[in-house]
Amino acid sequence: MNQLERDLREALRRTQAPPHFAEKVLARTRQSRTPRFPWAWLAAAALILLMVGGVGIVREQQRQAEGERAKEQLMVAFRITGSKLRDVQEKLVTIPQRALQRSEQ
Amino acid sequence: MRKLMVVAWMLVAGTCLAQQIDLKSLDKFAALAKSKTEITMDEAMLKSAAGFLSDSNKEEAAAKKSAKDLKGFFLRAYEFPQKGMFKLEDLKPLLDQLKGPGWTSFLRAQEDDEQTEIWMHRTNGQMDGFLLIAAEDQEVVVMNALGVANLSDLAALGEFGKLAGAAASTPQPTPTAPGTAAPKPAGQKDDD
Repeated sequence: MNQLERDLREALRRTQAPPHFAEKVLARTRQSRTPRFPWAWLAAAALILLMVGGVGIVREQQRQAEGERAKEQLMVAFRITGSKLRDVQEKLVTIPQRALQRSEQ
Repeated sequence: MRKLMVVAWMLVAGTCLAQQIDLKSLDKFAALAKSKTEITMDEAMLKSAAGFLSDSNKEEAAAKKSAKDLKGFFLRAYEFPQKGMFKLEDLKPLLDQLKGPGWTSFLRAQEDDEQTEIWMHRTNGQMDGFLLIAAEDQEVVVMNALGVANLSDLAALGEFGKLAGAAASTPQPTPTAPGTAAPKPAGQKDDD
């Protein structure tokens, strides 16, 4: 038996586990399963709230912009229509009666 | 029974759309016009717009009143750079649609190169649609409104024109609808 074999035999020699080794290992395992930092959940919830709130704000801004655009369109449409109706009223007063033709439909 | 329901549904759908005029025949003038305004607003858009109109502003309050019962508003206004680009005969596809049931001519005035027509649509005797055609040799305006319930609604629009005319006489920028060319202020031509 040479020196290497002796060293290996010494290193691989069966030894008794220290007392309560298994309980300690299991206790460590249970410890690692519990969340170390409970604020992480709160941070995640806050992030989700921020995201939902952000989407809500963006949607409200879009709704506002669309409403404003629709309002501008309506005002332009009414201005043109109103001016034409006024023109018609003026024509009714100024054009000769023969030019008016009432439809019998 | 199912067939009866389909027929009834088609009748209801037909009645709902009868007062809406197809303005596609005017699309070809968009490319020729030097100034154009094309506005298409359905009921949802009108409601959305009305929600943003202020009661404290006289002009907006009048618009809110006029828009109250509207179910749709469709406007095409084209101004041409020279005579001959538009003829009164070009209105025929529009006028042909008015031969359908429910449409009644309220006013028809024709002079040399000008034609003005006002038509109303009635369903069961109740006015629910309005069409205005104002055509000149270099300009045509067609407006189709759905849900106009009575003549006072139209008078309110005329009054709105008066307000707009007063506003145009003061140095105030005219709001321009996005996606539309700059419209003329009330009753004014661009080269005025």
